Amino acid sequence: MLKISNLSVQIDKKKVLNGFNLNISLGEVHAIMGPNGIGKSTICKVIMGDSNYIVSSGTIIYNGEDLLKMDVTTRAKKGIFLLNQTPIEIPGVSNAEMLRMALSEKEGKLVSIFDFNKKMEETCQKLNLPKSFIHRGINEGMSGGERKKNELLHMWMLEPKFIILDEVDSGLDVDSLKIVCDNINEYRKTHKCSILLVSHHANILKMLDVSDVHIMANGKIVKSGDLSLALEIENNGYSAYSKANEVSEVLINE
Amino acid sequence: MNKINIDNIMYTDEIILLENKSIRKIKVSGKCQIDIINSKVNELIIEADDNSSLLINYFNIINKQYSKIDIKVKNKSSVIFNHSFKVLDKYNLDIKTDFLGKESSITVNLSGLNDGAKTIVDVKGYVKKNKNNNVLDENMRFININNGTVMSNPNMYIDTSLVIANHNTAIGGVSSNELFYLMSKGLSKEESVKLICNGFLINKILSDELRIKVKEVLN
Repeated sequence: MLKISNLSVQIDKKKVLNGFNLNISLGEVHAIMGPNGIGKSTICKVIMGDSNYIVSSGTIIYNGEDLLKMDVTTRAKKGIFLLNQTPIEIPGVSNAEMLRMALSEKEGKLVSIFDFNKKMEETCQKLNLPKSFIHRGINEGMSGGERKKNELLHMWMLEPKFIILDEVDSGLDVDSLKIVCDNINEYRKTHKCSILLVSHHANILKMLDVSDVHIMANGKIVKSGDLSLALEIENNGYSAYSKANEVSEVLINE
Repeated sequence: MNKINIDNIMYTDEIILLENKSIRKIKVSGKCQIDIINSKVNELIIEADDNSSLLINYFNIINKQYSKIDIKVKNKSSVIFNHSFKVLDKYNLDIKTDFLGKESSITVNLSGLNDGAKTIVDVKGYVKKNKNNNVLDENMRFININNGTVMSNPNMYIDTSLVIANHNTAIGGVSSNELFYLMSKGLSKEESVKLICNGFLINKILSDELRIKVKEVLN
């Protein structure tokens, strides 16, 4: 479904990703872990097409197509969805307004207001959100937990096929995290999709039944494994990986 | 009982909608919300009597216009003046605020979208000697698109230390973060810019009815 090969990315003349490789098949849930500032969020934004990041080499192939040749809108229409760790507010623009426009754009025709409202109401119910969220400004005046749920409302409405969850667990209390994870799992049962998750905590990896765990250091994946790798990180931290990289860096320099 | 005098016509309503009018003078005694859309405002005097509360939501699409707006409040009163506008050519806006008594507040919120246009805004807020315990707020936000330009002067002339006064101006383009966010939901760049600009214009309008009308006008 998504194949990233030898990707190098820079921002503000600083190399953030360097020879990054990742392969995710349909239905799989992959997680990326790594210390702060290592480039985990960068990979999420690069897949979505954030123009602040410059791809200097490598490829991203999504369902056989070159993703790097597509603009952000096209990527979203192809089914890529990014849930950011801090979803921004857009004052004065309602969820309904944005979603109806996005769906119409995706389907190439104006979406029926009756069908749209029905689906919005059903989705709000599913997420235990009041109906007032339909016409609320996007993430406007919402708490961290409400914002995440609001983004899930967008996910259910837009029905993406490849979901990027960038620290979706940040700022969520235990109950909210459970609601969010249950909801994503329910979505997975009813929609054939893949997920790329970025997180610092093994807990959410368990809750989302992650199949593959990757550790990032020095702008690339340095180790891959299953859930036991996340548990190892939770117990021992990243020092083993960063040390290994420091050594290899020194050797290269020599 | 409310006594609202708009160009010598008396109203008692708490919410008044003025559409396609030419307005010169608003005098309020009591509590009132006045929504103004597509109306001609060249020289407008707004007065709030003692113990009054006035909220004005005013939206216009402007080609070429010069407007001079004078806001005066007496004792223990408040006036909130929310003015959103889209300028297509040229807009000169002069706003003067003055406290005629004590313990009152005046808030001026301007949200301007310059679509290839030129806007010059002068706000002069006066708090004179012995006019104590008043609150003055001047908030100005402008978005420039298609090479629009803005000159904004939020001034305050304060002659007492017993006052709370704030003034600020922010001028910029469409936020790249907001643009990326909307495009990542599948909206085209053009649609995203339109939504962001329209949202910016209606955001400070504290009237659901006027918001709907403004959206109709903008679309």
